[in-house]
Amino acid sequence: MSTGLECRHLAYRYPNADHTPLNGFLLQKIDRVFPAGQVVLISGISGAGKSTLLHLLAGLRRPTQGEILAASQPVSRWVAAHRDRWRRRVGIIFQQDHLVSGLSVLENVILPLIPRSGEPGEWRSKGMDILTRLNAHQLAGQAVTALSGGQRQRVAAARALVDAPDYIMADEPTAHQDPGNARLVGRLLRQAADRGAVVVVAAHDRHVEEWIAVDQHLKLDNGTLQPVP
Amino acid sequence: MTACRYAKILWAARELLTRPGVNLLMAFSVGLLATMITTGLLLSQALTTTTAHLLAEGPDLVVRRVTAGGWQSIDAQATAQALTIPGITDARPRIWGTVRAPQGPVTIAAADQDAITRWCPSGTLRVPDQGEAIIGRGITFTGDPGVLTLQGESSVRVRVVQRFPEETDLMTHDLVLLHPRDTRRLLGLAPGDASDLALGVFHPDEAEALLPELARAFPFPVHIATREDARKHYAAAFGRRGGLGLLLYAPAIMALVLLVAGIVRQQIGDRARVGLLKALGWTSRDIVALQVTKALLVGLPAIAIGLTAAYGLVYGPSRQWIGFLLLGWQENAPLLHLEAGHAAPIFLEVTGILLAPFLAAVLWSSLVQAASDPQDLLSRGN
Repeated sequence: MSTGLECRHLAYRYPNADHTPLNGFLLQKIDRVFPAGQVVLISGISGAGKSTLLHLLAGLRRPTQGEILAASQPVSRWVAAHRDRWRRRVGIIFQQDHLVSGLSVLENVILPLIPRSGEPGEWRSKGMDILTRLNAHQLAGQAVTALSGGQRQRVAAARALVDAPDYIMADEPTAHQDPGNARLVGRLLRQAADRGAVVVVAAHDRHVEEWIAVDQHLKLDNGTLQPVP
Repeated sequence: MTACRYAKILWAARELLTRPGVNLLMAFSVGLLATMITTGLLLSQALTTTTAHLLAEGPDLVVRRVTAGGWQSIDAQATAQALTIPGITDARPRIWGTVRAPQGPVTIAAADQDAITRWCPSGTLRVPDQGEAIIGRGITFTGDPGVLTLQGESSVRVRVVQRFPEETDLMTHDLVLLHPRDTRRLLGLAPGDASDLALGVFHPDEAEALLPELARAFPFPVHIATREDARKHYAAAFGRRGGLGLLLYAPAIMALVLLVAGIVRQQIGDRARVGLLKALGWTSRDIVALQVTKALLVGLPAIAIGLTAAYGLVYGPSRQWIGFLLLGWQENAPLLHLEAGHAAPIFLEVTGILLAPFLAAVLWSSLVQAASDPQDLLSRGN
């Protein structure tokens, strides 16, 4: 039984997208396993469908065809209530950080912890710990509106990693980072994989491999995933 | 309640603070609505109950002698004729009427121990001697303080020795209680005559059935009023004025509709945030619970404040406005001491009336959003 993520005949088509190539299918016939304990890099040109694939893997969308299995369970076919609960095991770094304005950095980071067990002291402790590991602890009390692009992205990474998820989807996690902080983010993703998480990173820049120790590199082209030697 | 649940309530409160202006405005609107609706309901209920209570303390039937020229005094011996009717258990002559005081017309009544007990059950009043008066709080002096000159069939100067307690103001506002001899002089009543007869019946439900036989018992034409007649008279008077109060409900209902629409619009505007929470592992149930907690944190205190304000308006120290607005008193409006015992069901009713659509709007929009895929919400919300 696999503890990773698996795509079986996965296809995704945006509604009302008939005029686009591939008859509107952005992703088609993807059969791929993302093993636990590995960092898989997906590259491709802008618009290739990297983010969409990550959203599908994270359970934020349902595939048009095929299915996604997590630990051999067809999570993409589950009813919303079960998928909601499964999503607690997923951490996602969005390309657009989606931080909540009006909340502080620390409050944004602990957002995934609130509906789970625990109490504010524990949330704070976990939040500060991950912020410290991302060299962002000094930002904890600040409003997110006051942050730079790189800082916002590190806060978004902290939010994704705060509860040590089993599945981590990182969309351009180092795009706005200087090399030092990019290595920091890369190291945390590597550590997550080393403790057994599935880590899928989408990036259009090959330099990302300098900062993240990648196990597999796949290229998304014409809606399909191909290994990059 | 677990610490975790407290923490979630605290988090809901923290979320409210991210939009303090909008949420304050929402609380103000809900509170104002609660005040408007509760005031109307409390007033209607309180006036009806209080009037019924006060009338219950009065006689079951009142017999007045009538002639072609109007009212005429009635021989007090007629009480004996009334008591010949089976079912009549009590008959007493009453001496009362209206005369002029410096400020305008006032009601005078002859005091006896029964009347004193009726007006002031606490026992702080005594029967006035000749030349003395007990007056209501609406009676004012224009000359010597403490001395009242009344003008009826003759002129009588009386010294005011006591005032009726505040809680009797609804019934004693313009009343002057005098010694029977002073009252007769002012009304021009001969000894042995009375203004009317107050009758008690064995069972109040019998009162209507007794009217024909009672009318035949007197050798002169009479007009007989029942307690029900009096109740209808007051209800009609309050109802006419109360119709104005109903106008308050139109904007209140419109405001409620707008409030619900505003909540739905705000929730739909929050699609991106809901989508984000779902993406971060919040279940639909967590999100609905958060939204409902937020709604309750805004709604419940606002409704509580609204209910308290309405209670204060109807029962509080500044409640003279009721007399001005509903009863038409232009000056010296009486302080209404209404019965607060019926307020609790009205509070529950209004809380339900307001909370139900408020929570329904929150629940409906939360459920619709919670059922959507997170990425759809995130995309449409941006």
